[in-house]
Amino acid sequence: METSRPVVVKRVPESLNLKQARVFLEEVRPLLEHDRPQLVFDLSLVHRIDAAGVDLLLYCMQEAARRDGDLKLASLSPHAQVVLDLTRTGRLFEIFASSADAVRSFGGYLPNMVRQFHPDPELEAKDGRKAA
Amino acid sequence: MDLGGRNSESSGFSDLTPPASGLRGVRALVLVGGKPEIERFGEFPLAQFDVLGRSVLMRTLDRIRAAGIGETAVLSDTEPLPPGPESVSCKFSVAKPECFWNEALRLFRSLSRHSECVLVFRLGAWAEVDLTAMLNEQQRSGAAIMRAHSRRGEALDVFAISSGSQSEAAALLRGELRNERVAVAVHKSYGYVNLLLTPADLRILTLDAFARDCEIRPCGRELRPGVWIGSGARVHRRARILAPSFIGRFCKVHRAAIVTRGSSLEHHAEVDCATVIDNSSVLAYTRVGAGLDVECSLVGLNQVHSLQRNTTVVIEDPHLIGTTTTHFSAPLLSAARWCVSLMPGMLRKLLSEPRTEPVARDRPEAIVPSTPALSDSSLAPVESQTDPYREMAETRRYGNE
Repeated sequence: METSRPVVVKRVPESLNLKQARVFLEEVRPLLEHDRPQLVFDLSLVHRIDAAGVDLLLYCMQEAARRDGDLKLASLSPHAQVVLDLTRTGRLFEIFASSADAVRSFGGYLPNMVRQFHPDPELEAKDGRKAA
Repeated sequence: MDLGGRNSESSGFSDLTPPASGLRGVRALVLVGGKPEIERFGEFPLAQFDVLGRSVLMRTLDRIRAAGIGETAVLSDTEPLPPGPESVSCKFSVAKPECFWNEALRLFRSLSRHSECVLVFRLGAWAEVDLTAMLNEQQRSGAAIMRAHSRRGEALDVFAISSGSQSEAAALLRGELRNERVAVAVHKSYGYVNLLLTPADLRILTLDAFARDCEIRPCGRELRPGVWIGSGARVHRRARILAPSFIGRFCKVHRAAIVTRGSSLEHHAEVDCATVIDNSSVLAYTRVGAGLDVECSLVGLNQVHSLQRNTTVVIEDPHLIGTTTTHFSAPLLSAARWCVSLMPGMLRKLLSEPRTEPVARDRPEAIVPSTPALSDSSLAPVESQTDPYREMAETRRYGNE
């Protein structure tokens, strides 16, 4: 089942400290206010992220979840990866190697974890044809 | 600056070689750094960082002294880390990277003037070379320069250079210890070697020390099997320290913190509440913020080197990684800061109108007769009936307080 809602990919700026986080939040806020927002944050450029930046990511995820949407992270820079590991927040997000992968992940109705336990026969058949 | 003094605690060696009288005519030159691109963490040579309470540099000096070598000179290409090695028995000098090797040659010449042989170390690697055996082999073979090699055949930067061969020594030192143009004999060493090329190697050295694979032993008291604590360390009773772990001198471990799986906190490090230090080394004077998860990392100098991701990142947020201070004025400063934080409240209280106790009115309840006979409205005080703010006044008096 394909969703018709758009997936918005937003590139996070190089520095995500308190000041930058506020600016970024103002940019993102209209996207978060949609019904069931589907957002991907591309963190490939991030070279500096502090506690305020992590707080912003969590806030955005919370806001998206409140409207029955989702926020996924993609292309994490080494700095962002280390800081998310350090603050134990990396495990709260779905993280993808590239923005394209993250966007594709919104396409399936069932989340990956659910799909493991309730496999979709149609998708499996499609995968099987590809493998063949 | 002097180097080489020992703390009152054990120096961390399991079995020290007794001073050998045969090495009296031998002097040592210890070079720290010399290769700006490698063997560093945050611009400092890895040899300057503490491993279980004592730096590789200091431990190397301990080995040299234990071998009975009298005079030692140390040359570094960076300033020593705070508070700096303190001692009495050897000279410590700092040279700029561009003139490092010329300065090394000058020191070598001054040391070789009154000795038969000079041992030259470059740190670099932690190499447990048997110095007595090496010098004996050099004496027997008559080689001008002998270089130690590990059991796997890696060339180590440990040289025994006879004082008579000045020109070869000059060629070797000017060539930054590359021995292409100099004849060098090989001494095979079977001791433990860690090349300390990357921050990950420093972590491996710590784990090897816990596993007793090398001579390095933690400097501190073994509180429980596998848990060493240095003097002056403070661990909250709700914190958990799981073996093998090392808590250095004057460290602070706050409530609900966990230190586990071969982690080490070097001196004056601080771990805030509910932070987990798992399989990691926290360098001296480093403060790790509250609620963090430090796993397989080397943390210090406002940087985190993740061993899993093999990357070093600079953390500028002091809430995550910061530095501690031990300056004597630190408690005074913190007290002053506390006083300043109280000032606005105190000033507000002083400048506000003096609080006046409400005039004790005659409580209407006290005089209002409760008996039906006295319940006549004419007997009730007039004020109690006309004051519309009576209830409000009562509420403010008790509720606000």
